[in-house]
Amino acid sequence: MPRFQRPGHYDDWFNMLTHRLVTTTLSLLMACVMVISSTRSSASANNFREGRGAVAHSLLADTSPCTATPPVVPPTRNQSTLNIFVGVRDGRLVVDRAKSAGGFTVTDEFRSRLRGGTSGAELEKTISRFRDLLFDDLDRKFRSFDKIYRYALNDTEKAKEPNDALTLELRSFPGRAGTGDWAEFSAKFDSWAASAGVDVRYSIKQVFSNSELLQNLSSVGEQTALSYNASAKPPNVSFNAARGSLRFRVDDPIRNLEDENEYLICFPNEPDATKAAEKRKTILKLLKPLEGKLWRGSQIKSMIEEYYAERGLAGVIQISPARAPRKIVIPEAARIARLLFHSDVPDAEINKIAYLLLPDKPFRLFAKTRPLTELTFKDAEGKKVASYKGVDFKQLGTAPGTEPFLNQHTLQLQQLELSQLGFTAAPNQTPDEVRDQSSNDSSYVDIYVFKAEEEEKGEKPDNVPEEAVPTANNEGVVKAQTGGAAGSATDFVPSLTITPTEKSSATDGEATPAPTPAPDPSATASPKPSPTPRSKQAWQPKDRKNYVGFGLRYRPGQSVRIFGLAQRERLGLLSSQDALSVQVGAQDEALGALNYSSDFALFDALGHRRLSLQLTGKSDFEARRVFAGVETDERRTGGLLRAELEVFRDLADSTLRFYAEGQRATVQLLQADQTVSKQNLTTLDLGGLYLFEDRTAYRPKRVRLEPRLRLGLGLAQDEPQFASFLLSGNYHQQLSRTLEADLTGRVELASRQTPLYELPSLGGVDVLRGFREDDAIGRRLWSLQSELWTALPGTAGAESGFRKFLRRQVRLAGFLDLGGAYETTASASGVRFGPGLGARIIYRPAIIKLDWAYGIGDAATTGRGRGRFYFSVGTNLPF
Amino acid sequence: MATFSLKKDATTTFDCDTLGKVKKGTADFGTWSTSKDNKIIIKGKDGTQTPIDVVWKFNNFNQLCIRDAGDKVIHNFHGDDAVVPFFATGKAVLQVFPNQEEEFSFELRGEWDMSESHDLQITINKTVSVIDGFVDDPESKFSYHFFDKAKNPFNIIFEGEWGTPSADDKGVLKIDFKYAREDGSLDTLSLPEELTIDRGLNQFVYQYSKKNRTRRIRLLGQLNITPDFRLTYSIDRQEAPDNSGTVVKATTFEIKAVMTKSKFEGDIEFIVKKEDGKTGKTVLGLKGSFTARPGGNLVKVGFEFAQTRAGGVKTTTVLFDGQLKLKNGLTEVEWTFENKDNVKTVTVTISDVKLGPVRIGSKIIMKSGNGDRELLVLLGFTF
Repeated sequence: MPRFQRPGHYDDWFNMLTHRLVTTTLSLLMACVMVISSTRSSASANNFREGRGAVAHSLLADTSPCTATPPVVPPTRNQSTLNIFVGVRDGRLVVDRAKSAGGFTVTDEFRSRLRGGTSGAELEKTISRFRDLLFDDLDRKFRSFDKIYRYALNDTEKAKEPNDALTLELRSFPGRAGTGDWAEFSAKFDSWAASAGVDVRYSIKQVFSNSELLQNLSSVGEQTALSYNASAKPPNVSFNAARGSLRFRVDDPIRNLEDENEYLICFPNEPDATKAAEKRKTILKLLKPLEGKLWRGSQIKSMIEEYYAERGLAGVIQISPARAPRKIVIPEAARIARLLFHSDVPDAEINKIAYLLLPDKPFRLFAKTRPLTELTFKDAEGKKVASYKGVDFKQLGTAPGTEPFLNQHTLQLQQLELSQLGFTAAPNQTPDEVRDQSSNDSSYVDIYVFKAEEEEKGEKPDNVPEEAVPTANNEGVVKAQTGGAAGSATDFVPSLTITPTEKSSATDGEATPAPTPAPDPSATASPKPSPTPRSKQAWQPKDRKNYVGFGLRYRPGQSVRIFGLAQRERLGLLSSQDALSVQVGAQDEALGALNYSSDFALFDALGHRRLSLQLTGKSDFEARRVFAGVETDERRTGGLLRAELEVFRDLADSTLRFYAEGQRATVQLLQADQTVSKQNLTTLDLGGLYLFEDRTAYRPKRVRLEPRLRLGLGLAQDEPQFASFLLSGNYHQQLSRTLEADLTGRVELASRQTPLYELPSLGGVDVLRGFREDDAIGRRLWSLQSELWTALPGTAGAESGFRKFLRRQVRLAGFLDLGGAYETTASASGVRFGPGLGARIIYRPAIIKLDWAYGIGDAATTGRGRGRFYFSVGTNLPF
Repeated sequence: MATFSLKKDATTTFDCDTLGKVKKGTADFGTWSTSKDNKIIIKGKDGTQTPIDVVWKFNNFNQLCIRDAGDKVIHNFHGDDAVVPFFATGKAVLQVFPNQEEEFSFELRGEWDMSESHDLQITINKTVSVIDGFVDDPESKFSYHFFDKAKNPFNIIFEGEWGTPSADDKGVLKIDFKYAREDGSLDTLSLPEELTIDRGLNQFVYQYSKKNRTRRIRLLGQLNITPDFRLTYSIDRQEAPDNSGTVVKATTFEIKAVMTKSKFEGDIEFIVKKEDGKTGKTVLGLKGSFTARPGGNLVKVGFEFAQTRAGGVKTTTVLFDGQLKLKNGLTEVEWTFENKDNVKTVTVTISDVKLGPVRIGSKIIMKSGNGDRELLVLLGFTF
């Protein structure tokens, strides 16, 4: 029989400890804010979050590297050669690697740029590796060409597409495996060409020429370190149809990227020379591994675009061909010039929308001055109409060139929050008369805000971002989350509001379009800087006031908990942004909650601070808890009232909230379906959340701290009077391009009078995996969950197909959980371990978590730890 | 190795080979080359130089031949199937390599022209040769391709710059290429067919068909439309692949054209104007979408289009000048665009305009005494 704590007075030492803990935590919290803020300030030059009120900056005028005259390439450079012989595979050109193996001739300059000296077997191995890499690049390029026979056809035949036996043979010669001999293919080809009559089809000599098949090689330098000189003079001509040979010049490897006489790296959207220099350093760090390697444009472009895309930034990276002066142009992303509120956006809502879209400092200035400009339209008769109200960042203390970048991560979250208010945002190119973009290659967008309507029509344009995935809290209230909570972003790599475009297919294959075009992976996705709506059908966004949600959660030893929810928003009771939601579910027995929540309550009266209220009545059921070795079901029936005040958001990348939550419940404990205890419980929770999130740094990181003090008020005679304290924190840091560290820790303390069901419980997915909940219950508890996340190997840079899905939506995690419980009740005191593996999958709109861990140490429920699975899936669908 | 004999006079004969060597009888005599007036110069080891007049001509199979004054073939550089010659041009001088495997070459100087059927003509010392080939290039170059009888491919490229296109008497837009000569002067290669815009690329292309094959020169460059509806185009500079110099100079031209659309939907189209100011035949269309943006204190109508540039896609939005007028008791909306060349009025009947719910994009509400009327001008949308 479990021994329950009786109501009584707080222990003196606990009172003191609690007081000190709260004081210390808050002090630490504020210290963290200051430290992280100052860290952020000092590091600001190295990231992308300018425009938070910084007005003073030094502007580069004519000295911008983007407009500087590129350095002259000395004639001694880039003189290595690659002579290859071609073969045929599946009717297309391929490199005949066996015949071409000896065709790579490198200069002394080339050798001097390789790492590891200029001689020796290692060096030769490197050169061979580079040769194979160039073969790979060429094969990729050849795959983007049409089938060879197509270049022989005249327009009539192209339109009709011959289908005789000889054509069929040439079309797939010699099959998909192996490399067909060029001479054999040429003989067959010429017979086939002659069979159509005089001058109907081209011979292989005519096809293997600069006007036909080889014309496509002119752009090879954009993708790899080769240049093809179609008009190279004898004796070094570029091609020979009879032999099936091609000659390329190979560009020298990258020596020292920091050498500004050889490599120009510029940022057209960064006019501040100091910041541009810092960003250049970041890029140099990113590209450092390429020193001593080949200048392959597609690889460099992909590395930089991937780097920025992971940070939510999307700009069109331009890489010069290697033979030209080497230049990298990095726009990073467009900057935001203005917010434009459509005239159907009610004036009363503009402050709230601005709160969601602006960083804290510009918002405070906006709320104070409301510098909205009416964009009027006059007809010839002088009739005037207001169509938009707009605010320019210039009016918010932000100098041109320091406005915030358009960040896709941020925009997705903002889009979700806006949709809950009934609005939609879409970025679009800023007119030149507002920001001059043509003369300096910078790019700006305006954010248009519209009211959503009853019905959706048309196709959603590319420039309207996906919303973040909505998640629900414990009571089933759907809301946008921030700061690393599940659903704080839609994907691990955000979906961009830009459309990748195939570059080389347009330039290469256009004269002779392939009937079965092959993908060219080297044609890396080139995002559009300013998206064009893809449809001529206008898109009218639907105002989605309703949500339905489903989910299930498996916890070892406690069976599956399933739940569903429904939410209706904007009822207009306490505020214009309120919602009524109901959650029902079961875990052996039924459970449910009815919520009324209100967001932005008293927004203007509170000095434009966001106050969220939640009123809940619920009956929650948790099956098979274990108290003193006895399986016990717990049902809590009652209600809660919660008020949360957001002190600031997006202030130096930080958010701070405080909350108070009063809860009244009857806690019923059942063993073998018999009630063994029934107790009223009235608690007051005081807590907060501090979040610092820097998604755009070279190594993005996030810090989250959540202290909570729970006071059992003991309002009635039989109610327990106690105190417990919980401090949980999370630190997430990217370690490398493929690894991320995630540390979650918690410390819990409870006073002596704390009832057993309120005591800290060790075990479970959120505390210590490898154990189930209640594997140890004690008055003191700590745990540390350390995870190492990685994207699935082989998915880096994937821009299409299943690999893209895996790259964007799946992370694998290896982890080690540690935890200890002390002053325990019916369980052993001490430390436990839980190593394991897991996966996190965002499969729109569902979020799936799967973990397996093996518990090492004492477990109250099974005697010792063992392997356990943890699984949860949830989705909330707006409609 | 192929050889040919040249007679200095009745008694002196030189035997020349395609490696540039000369024998007199059985003895090595020296080397041969060509002079600036296209004579063959026999250079003796003893320093003597003997000029010999010959006729240079491409025959009907695009084979370069040396002929005598009586038009008798002395040598056909394409006569040996095992030996393929090579042609190149530099400053419009034809460089001939008798054997593409060897370094020896000689130069020929002539005047180049383009025929109505895209044949290239070269006049060397008053002898006109016609080369039956085609001009075709994906990167703005004036690159001429031809095949000989054995189907060997040849390609010569002229350095120079593209001229300003203009409509001919029939109203068809034509363009010239101005090639640079050795002395720095420019001459013209006129392209006989129509210059247009490829709507898939939003770039100017010269496209035509010869012998049932479509050929084209893509003029890589930046297209722009000014607020008063003038089309401008900046052709990018093109460098030689071996960094030896500029093959195509950067130039910018403006097309005299008027907008033809009477509705803001689909592609924007212009019709070129002739020298006399009358409209011609060539229609230039850009793929994109009409749009509306707040510009300054006005909502402006504009056009947005994309071009592939430097490996990426550049989107350009042009906001047009113009005036709005409500007509006929608010049943029509009229935009009037004016520039020095034309006045364009676009009238849209209100009943054709989609009225109703708000859509993503710009919306113009026009107020009148009879109440509000909503006119939707959507981002990339037609009305």
